[in-house]
Amino acid sequence: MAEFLFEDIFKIDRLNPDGKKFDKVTRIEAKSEKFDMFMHLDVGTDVYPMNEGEKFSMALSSTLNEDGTPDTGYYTPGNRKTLADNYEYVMQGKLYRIAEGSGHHGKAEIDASFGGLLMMLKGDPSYFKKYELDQRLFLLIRKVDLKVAHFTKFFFSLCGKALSEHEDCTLLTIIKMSPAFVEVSIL
Amino acid sequence: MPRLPDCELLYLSVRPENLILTNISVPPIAIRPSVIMDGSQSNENDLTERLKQIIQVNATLRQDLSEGSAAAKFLENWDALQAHVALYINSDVRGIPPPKPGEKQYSGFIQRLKGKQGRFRGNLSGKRVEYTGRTVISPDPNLKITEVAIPIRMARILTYPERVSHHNIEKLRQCVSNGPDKYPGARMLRRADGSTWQGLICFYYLCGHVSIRVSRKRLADELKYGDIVERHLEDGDIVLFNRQPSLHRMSIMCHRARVMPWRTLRFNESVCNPYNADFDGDEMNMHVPQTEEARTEAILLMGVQNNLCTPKNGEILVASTQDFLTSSFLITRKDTFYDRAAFSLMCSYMGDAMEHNDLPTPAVIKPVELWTGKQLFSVLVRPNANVRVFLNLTVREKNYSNKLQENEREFETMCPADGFVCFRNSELISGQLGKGTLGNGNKDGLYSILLRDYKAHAAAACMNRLAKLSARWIGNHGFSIGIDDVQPSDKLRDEKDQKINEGAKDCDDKIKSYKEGNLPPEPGCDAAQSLEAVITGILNKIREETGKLCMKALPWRNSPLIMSQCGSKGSLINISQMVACVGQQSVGGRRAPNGFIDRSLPHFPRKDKTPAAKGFVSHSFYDGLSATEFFFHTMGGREGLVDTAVKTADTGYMSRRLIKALEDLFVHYDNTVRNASACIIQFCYGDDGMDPAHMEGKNGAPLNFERLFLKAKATCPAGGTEKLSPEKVSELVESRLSKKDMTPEGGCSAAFKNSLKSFLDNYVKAFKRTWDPCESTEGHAKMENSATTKNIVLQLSGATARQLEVFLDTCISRYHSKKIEAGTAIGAIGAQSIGEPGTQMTLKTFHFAGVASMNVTLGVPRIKEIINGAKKISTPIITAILECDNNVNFARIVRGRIEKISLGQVAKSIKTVMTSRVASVVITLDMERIQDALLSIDANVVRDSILQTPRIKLKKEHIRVLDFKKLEILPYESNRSKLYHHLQFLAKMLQNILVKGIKTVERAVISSEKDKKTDISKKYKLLVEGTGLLGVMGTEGVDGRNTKTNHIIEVQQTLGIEAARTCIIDEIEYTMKSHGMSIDTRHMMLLADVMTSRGEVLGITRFGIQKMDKSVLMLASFEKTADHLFNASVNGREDKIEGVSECIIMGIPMQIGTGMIKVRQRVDVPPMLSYGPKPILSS
Amino acid sequence: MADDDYTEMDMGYEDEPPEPEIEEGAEEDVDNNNNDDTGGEPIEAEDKADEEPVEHPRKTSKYMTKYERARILGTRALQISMNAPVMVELEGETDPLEIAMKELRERKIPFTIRRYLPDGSYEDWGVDELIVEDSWKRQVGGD
Repeated sequence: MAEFLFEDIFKIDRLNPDGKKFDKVTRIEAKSEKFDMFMHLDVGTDVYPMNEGEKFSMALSSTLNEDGTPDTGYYTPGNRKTLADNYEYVMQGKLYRIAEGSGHHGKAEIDASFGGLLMMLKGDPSYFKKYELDQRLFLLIRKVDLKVAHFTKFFFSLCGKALSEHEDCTLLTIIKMSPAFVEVSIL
Repeated sequence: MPRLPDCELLYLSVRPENLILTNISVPPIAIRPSVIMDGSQSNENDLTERLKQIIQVNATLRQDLSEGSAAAKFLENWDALQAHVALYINSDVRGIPPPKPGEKQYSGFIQRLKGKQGRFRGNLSGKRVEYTGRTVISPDPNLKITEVAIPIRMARILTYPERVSHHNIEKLRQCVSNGPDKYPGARMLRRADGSTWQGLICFYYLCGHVSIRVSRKRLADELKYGDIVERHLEDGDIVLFNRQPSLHRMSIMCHRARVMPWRTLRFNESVCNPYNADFDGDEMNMHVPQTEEARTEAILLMGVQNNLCTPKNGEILVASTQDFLTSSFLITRKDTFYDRAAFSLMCSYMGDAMEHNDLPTPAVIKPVELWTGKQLFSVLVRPNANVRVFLNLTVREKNYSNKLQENEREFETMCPADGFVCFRNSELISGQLGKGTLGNGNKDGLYSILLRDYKAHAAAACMNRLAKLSARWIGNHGFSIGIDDVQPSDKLRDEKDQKINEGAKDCDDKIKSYKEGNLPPEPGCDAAQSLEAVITGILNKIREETGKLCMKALPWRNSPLIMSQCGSKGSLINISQMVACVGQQSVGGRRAPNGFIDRSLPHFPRKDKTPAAKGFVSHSFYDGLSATEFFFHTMGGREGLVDTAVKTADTGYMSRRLIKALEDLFVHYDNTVRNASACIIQFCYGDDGMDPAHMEGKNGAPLNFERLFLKAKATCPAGGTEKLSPEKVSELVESRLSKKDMTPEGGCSAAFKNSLKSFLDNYVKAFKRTWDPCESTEGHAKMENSATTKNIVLQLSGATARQLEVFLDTCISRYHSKKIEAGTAIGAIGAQSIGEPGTQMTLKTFHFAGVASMNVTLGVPRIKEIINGAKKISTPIITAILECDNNVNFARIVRGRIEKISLGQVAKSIKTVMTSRVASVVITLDMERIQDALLSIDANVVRDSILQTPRIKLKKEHIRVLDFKKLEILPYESNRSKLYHHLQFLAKMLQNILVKGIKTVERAVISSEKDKKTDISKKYKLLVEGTGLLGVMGTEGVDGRNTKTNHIIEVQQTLGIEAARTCIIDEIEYTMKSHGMSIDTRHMMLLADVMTSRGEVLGITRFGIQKMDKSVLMLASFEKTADHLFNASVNGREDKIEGVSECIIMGIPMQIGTGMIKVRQRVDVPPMLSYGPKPILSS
Repeated sequence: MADDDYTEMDMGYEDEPPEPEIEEGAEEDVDNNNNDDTGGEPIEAEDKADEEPVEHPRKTSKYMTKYERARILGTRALQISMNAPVMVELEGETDPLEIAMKELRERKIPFTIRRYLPDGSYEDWGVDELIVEDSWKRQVGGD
């Protein structure tokens, strides 16, 4: 089983922070939970809609092969099992920049382009050791509302009070409303 | 021979008595053919008619002489003979009464030679040729940029003489048997034995008078090696393609023929730019070189692929245009996705599905496979893995937002509008491609970089692929403009109306305050001028703002908007004129003038200054213009038309003069630039011997180090290799720079070495700055942390030894390959590079130099002044730098010293005093005023200046200084009766006496320069209108070393010839720059050197060119043909036929370029020929 | 690295300098056809008194200029078109210019270039001594 270069859960803060410019592509601004990463990502929302406040799990990998053999660079689709099977939205692209952020103890930044759809991932420099310039990257995304279901019980016990106040709300709206949820999921 | 010396003194080649005509030459009939009109009438040539008259007069004269008739009659005929002979030579010779109205003027010899259509310019310098074609042109994106489609009808007429050899005998047989009418045929056959066969149905034998019919079939069969077949043009033949006006060398280029059906000449639109062609009915010419040598030289030196960039400044000229830009822009939009079928189809568009393309991994793999348009461009640049093109570039497109991110950094690739184009190893990372990347005129564009890094073929191939892709894609996608594209929404209409109303109200307020007289004046303007300036400002703002409004309101799919964004056609102004508001119409740089009394049109009240009455068009073209608006619009339009018509004639003549003055300059094998008679103009072309066509950097620098360094880093991946520390880098650089090819002996200029060194030093410095903090923390406990940061720093800005080595080697080897080659006709190139931009200069002829009230001539008139070396220029301005430039008062004091001040201006009174005892003029100075203006004037100064004025004839004893502000002037006239008038005269004269300042100076204005960052700190300098550089430089408080003027002749007189040279270069550069044109300074240097190399400034006029040791034939073919020929014959001048014009006139290959060398066949061992019988016995 | 990569073919200047082949009888023919190169023939050059070959070392650049290249190829293409013996192995080329280019690439053109300096002196350079840059076919726009 191949190891991901990076895996984390992000929450979408904003859509199109600099104004909407494109119809089928949306730039999302998201923050990660585990590594406290900040991300700008262009998503083809025409085929995979994303909304503000949603959470998703994102992974970066240098290959889609399950056994971890490196990607050849040639596109050979087939019915093989791949890492992508577990995800809903998969993009392929290239890491084109690794940059140190402003200030000495500032954050580092990696930029990747998935055929023009850009990703900017900002975080502590130590997380970016594994990356190499010009490396192929696969970006895998799935939404975590399903996973949230596993938390429900645990969540209910913690936030029983909150739930009782919003009895007729769906789970998602509670998640949206409850600031405590972030801590909960980390637990 | 004792009498010879006096001839020599007179500079005559023969004795003066031989200059008197005793016989006249009568040319043969071929020179003066008689034209037979229908029937028996014949029309005689002018010369014949004139000769007739001469013979007639001669006969009567002879008769008169022999008959001894009256002297008066006899003298009359004598004069008539004189006149006729003179008219025979020159029909408009002076001193002879012009012919009566009914009488026909016969042209003389001189008239045949003179003028544009004359022998020299019309037949000797430019010759008519065969094997040419001309028709309408049309575009064909499916052709390569190096090709031209030739209609089959044309191909059947134009031929190329191909010699039969065993390679082509079969092909030529077929041609011969096809005959002249069936396409791959032949028009003529020249046999090796000298016989010629030419024919329509079959070939005829044309030799002497015999003509035999021989069937084509037989001729084809009898074809032998060595025969010459004049076959039809076929695919791959070499043709020259040209469009007039041929302003630069790219106006005639060499293409490969493609014989095609239909009737137009067709070529790839990418090549429109160099020809300046469009397809609105333009026609172009085509020539077929007739020898193997001509073809080779044409394709190697004039081929399209060898002329992709202009020698004017090294920018790329052949590049994608119009639709190609639009479709690239649309394809690379961030939200264009293609599925597998669409993407593969588009890939196959690029090369007629004949090329192998590697299908990239889709950008989106799940939920559906989708490729982006940007991936298509990655395929376009590098279709498959065997193509080893690694393109690396960054371009900021038009729509790149200059706003900063939240953390004060530029957006770069993350630009929200996707305006930052970035290619990395031939993959399009980000950015929507537009004119900046694909178009002409950008040195960092895609094609420029392909051309520099991977040579012309890579760039040409890429252009071909894009042309095909884009034509087919946009054909399917569709792109058009309709009325709905320019329809403003209701909201936009309201907002626009509001903006216009606001502006109009603003203007009304200003007009009101002007009428009340409390409008604050602009510096150096009176009230009316200030009002104009203010209103113009407001009105321009209205158009700008309405333009912005409609930009915001238009959807992204709006076709005009797309076109203006990608740069294919039109600007934002054009759109806002269609949608929102046409704006202010200007005539001669002002608002519409008053054609009627105090008003522009009778529709308005007198003295109306409102926007509408002075040519402001508030409607859009969509709305339609009102009658008055329409009229104002035509006024503006007319001005533009007149201006272009006038300008073409002016620039045409200017180009001709430039060419004639510079045509024979070329680079010799010892790297000097010399003229035809081997006089040195420059020791090294452009001071560094580089070819302007190959310059990659900004401002004519040979290389763009930054880009090359990035490229070296990108193309040589670090992999696992260790990156170098800053110290190591310096060490490596030092060792490389001390090698032989970086020394002056190795052919490297110091300037280049320094620039490379300083680039690397800066890099090392910046590197150290980030490196050092990591180093210092190493000692601390946070070993691991510092190691990671260090690692990151290295990854960010470090370079491996290999990368550095590659970078240095590319830089140095590329530098050496950019040297100008011996034989380059650099004079002609320079003349074209300066002449061609002249045609593009718009009607902006004036421009404010720092201060609003001070104009400088610009545009074609200014270039003309500089090139002519004009003694008097229309706006001479001296820029005086002050010794202390941060103090306004100091500047005012110095201004007071420079600006001329008459006595009248500083005197409180100039009174005539007449008492019984004394009669005098008393001058009282206005000390208050003098103090205010910070002038240092007192009575003594006034006395000195009066004494220095010669016209007034006052001597020392006539002037008495009463106190510091009073003077008394005593008259020198002793006659009491005239005294009164004399005093009055004196008082009047004294008014105009110059007390202070420089006479030739009109006025001086203080100009302040604001610092860009801090608005507070200002730098003051003086702009002095007028001449008198010497005086200004000598003025106390002026920094003479940095003071400049735009008057070249004055610079030469005060500072010398070298200063004049620099001045010429700077002034041409400044003029060109203010019209947004960049020209390599090397061209200007050459022009300046030509103008100054004789020790005085020679204008590029007929007088200047005469002094540049040109040969007689060249001068005769330039201007004043007859004068030069007469003088040359009187003085016995010789012409060595060295220059370009002379060689063309004589039909000799010139000694430039390929004609400069001689080629010898190498015969290593001369074959031993033995004569006589072989020896019977040999050892 | 990648800089010189575009040229697909190897130009192989390191190869041994090819010896100009002597073709019996061919020279006279070929030379006479070069009528425009007056003085191009060795015999004629001698009677010009003011032109003297420059003593070694030669001063001019060791790179062949594009004008020299064009002239050489043109002259050679003309010779080839007139059935002069070809100095290289042909691989189906028929265009004289293309053949001439191949010859130049393999440095088999039996020419000497006489470069004139402005003072009238000259330097002789063999075509095989000069460094020719650039890839060839690319220049011509053919495929």
